Amino acid sequence: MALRRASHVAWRRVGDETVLIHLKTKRIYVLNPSGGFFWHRLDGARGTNEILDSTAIAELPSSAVNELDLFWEKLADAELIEKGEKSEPSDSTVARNDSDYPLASFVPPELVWQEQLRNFGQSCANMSGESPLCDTAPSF
Amino acid sequence: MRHGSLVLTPPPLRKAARLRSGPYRFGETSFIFESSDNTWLGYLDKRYDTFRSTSSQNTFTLDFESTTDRIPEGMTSPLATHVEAHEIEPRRNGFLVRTATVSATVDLEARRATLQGPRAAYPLDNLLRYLLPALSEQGVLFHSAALEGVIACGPSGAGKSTLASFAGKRALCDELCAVRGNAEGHYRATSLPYWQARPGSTKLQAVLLLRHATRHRLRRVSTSEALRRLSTEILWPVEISSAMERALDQISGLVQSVPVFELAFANDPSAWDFIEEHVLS
Repeated sequence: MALRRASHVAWRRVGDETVLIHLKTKRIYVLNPSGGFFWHRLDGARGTNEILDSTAIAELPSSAVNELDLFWEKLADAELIEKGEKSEPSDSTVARNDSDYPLASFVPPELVWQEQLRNFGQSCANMSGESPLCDTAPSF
Repeated sequence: MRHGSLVLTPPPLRKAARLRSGPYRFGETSFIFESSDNTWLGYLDKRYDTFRSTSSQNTFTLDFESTTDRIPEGMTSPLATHVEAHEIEPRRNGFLVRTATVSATVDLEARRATLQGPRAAYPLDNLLRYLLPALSEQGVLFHSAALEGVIACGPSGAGKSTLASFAGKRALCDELCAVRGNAEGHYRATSLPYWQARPGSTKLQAVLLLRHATRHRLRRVSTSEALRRLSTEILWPVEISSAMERALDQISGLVQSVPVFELAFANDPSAWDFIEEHVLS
C-alpha cells in the first residue's frame, strides 16, 4: 500500500512547520517538524516501512511504525492523503523530498493545529449581524 | 396618424437608461458601477469618493438593480454599515452570493457582476468582501487597519478603529487592507474603503495583533503563532482554489519576512507614540 498527498491539498513550509490547506473543505492544518518531514516524503510509491527505511533517523524506536501509521490515519480521515497502489515517483519528487530528518531523534509526527478558513475572517459578518460589536461600526 | 382613423401604437418599451459611476480603485482592481438608479450611484459617490481614480487597469464592472425592499430595520441611513449572514455557491466562472436581502452573481472571467438589493450602500459593501479577495491576483486581504508602517489586526472590538484614530494622519484605513509581497520579501499594505479610509499604501515594518489592556505592552510572537493567529484574520478567497494557494503563499512569506507582535494597548492616544518608539524606530 502506497501513500500519496491528495491533489486538493496545497502546502508550504513555514519555519520548521508545514502548513496544509484542504482546498475543498477550506480547512487549514499545521504539521509539527516531524510530521512535515514525513509529509514531504510521500510520493505515491512508498508505504510506512519503506519511508522509514529511507530515513537516517538515529535510534528509531520500535513504536515508530505505529506512530507513523497513526499519523497517516489522521491525515487520511481529514482527506489530506490517499492510499492506493504503488506508482513510480518522478525523479524530481524524490530529489526534492528526501531531505534529512530535522530533529536529533525520532519525534512522533503530529497534526498540531487546524482551523476552518472563512471569507470574512473574524469580522462582524461572521456573527450574522447579531453581535453588539457590529453595532459599533461607524455610520456615514 | 391617419386621417379619419385612429391607430393606437404602443409606446416603445424603453429600458431605463444605464448610468455609470467610477472608476474607483480598490486595491488591484478598478471598479465601474452601472445602474439605472441614480440615487444609488450617488450613495457610492459619497461612500467611495476619495477612492475615485482615473486608472482603468484591471477593470471590473458591477451592475446594480435596486429591489423594492426597504432597508433593514435599525439602519440609520442608506449609507450605514450593515452585515448579514450569507450563503455562497460556486457558479460557472464565479459564484453566487445571497443574504436575506441581497443577491449577487459574479462572473470572474467576464469581469462582471450583477447585484440586487435595497437601495443602500451595504449590499455593495457586503459583496466587495467576497469580490476583492477573489480578484486579488497578487495579494491577500486582511481584516486589519493599515497605519503607516504597520497593519493592526484583530476581530471586531479588538481596537482597530481606536488605534487608527490615535494614529490620525498616519492612518490609511481601519477595517480591511490588501497586503502584497515582492520577490525580495518586502511587503506593502494598501488601504481599502472600509470603514474610515483614504487611498494609500505603506511598506510594512511590522504586523500587530491587537488587544485592549490597561497599559501598553508589546510581545514578539513566533512564526508559528503568527501563522495561526493571522490565518483567522484573512479574507480567504474560499471559492477559488488558485487564489487560495496564492493567499497561502502570501501569508507564509509574510510571517517569515515581517516581524509580528502582539500589542496590548490602553485606550489612550499615547498608544501610537508607543508604536513609533518600540516598533517603527
